Amino acid sequence: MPLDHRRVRGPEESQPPELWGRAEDEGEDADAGAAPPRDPCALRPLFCRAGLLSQAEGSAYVELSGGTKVLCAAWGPREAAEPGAPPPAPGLGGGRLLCEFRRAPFAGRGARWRPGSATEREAEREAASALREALEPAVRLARYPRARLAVSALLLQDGGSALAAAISAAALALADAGVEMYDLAVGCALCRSPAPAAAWMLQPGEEEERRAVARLTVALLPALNQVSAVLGGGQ
Amino acid sequence: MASVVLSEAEKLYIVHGVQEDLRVDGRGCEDYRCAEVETDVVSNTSGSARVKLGHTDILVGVKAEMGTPKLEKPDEGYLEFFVDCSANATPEFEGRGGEELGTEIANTLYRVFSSESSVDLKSLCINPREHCWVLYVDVLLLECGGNLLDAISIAVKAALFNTRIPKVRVLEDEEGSKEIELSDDPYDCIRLNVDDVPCIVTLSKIGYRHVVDATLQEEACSLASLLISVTSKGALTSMKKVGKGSLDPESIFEMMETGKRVGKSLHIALQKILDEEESLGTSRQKVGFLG
Repeated sequence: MPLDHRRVRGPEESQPPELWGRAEDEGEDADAGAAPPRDPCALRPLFCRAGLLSQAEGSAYVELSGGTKVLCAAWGPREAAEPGAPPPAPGLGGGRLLCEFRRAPFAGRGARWRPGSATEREAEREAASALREALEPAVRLARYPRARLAVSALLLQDGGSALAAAISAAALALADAGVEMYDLAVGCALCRSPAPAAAWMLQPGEEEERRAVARLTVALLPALNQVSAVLGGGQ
Repeated sequence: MASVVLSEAEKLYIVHGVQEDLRVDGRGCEDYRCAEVETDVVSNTSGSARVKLGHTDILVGVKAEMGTPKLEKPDEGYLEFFVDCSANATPEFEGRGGEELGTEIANTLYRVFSSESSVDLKSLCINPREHCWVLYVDVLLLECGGNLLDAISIAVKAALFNTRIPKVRVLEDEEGSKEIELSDDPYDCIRLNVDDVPCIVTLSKIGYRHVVDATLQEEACSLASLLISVTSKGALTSMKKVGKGSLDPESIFEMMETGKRVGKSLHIALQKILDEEESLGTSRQKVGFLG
């Protein structure tokens, strides 16, 4: 789908004004100091609610204290109707989990995401595959042979730890849909600021994530004490 | 990845062997296969390298071109990765089949190189906000024999070591038109410092133990693998878990320690080979593609 004529994509060269005002903003931030340094291991409050959407079989909404809002819907099981696909390899008689991760164009704080651009689609695909890896060990796919379970996550606002919130929301949505699972996957993000020998901070806000030197997202299955996904970069 | 059909008995054989620290081809759990690294194989590029790790064959070409720096980082150059899975590697890659795998590998490479200390991007800048060097790193998968990412990262490091970027000055006339001046001497060039470039180590969990450098058969037996990228000093720059299974937190720590150890020795061996090749200079015999 190369051109999406229904959306006005804006001129190719548009830039947000924040880019030019950044030099002064950073100075102010350093003086005013964002909130007083918080305890790195403290759990920040979050809000989650399941069963919001009437059209999806299962849905969940997670909001983190940094402002991250993720809405997730789950459907399934449906028939794996893909006539062109090759038959599954022997031994993989279980179902398939299809994940999708979408960002709203206004979700980030800087420039508007251009919907349909190649970089954005790749970022979404990477997040979707990370989501699938986190959920696959938790769902009992062997109980749904030749079936397809679909999960779709929508990021409404990015205030830090977006992928972690999406993992938790997706697991809740699948549970709300009545899909059999071994355990609920819970996601948590960590980041580390550039200060020498800084401690790792749980659930960073957007400011902290931007300034961080290293970021890590971990998905855990608490009852089984197994880690289902680890994704991180930096030093 | 290319898939291989294994019977249950074969899988059991591999799993039991790994428990005893003995793999099908006689290696221990932490040994790499015999690897061949050769640089400067393609003459049209700024730098290139070819790595053969067992049956896995990777060719990397680096081309340096001038471009405009990104808006958020006006005084740095950047790297662009592109991975092409050719149909020679395995019949599954015919047509568009290899695209998904290619984008996944490219995303992993972006994440591995996202740390600011891996490559000195400021040395790639010519004029802040106007001109900078963009290094297009193109990876070609010639043959897929298990453990693709390790081989790719070794090849990328060797190709970056081999890259020669010509020295360029951009002059501005009185009317404001820019003139690019290339230095006359073809050997006058900038070399990149690859001391901090990380290498990826893939640790696959088979049974209760983990193995480094898994072949296709071993990959089919393992449910989960951990991909970590290690610099020569032992610092981790990225970590990712792949696979359908889940991992125990303690085994993750063990795998990280093994990965760091193996990664450091890999860097030492690679650096030795690269320095040896460099010192031979033009008198070195090129093996090429048929050797």
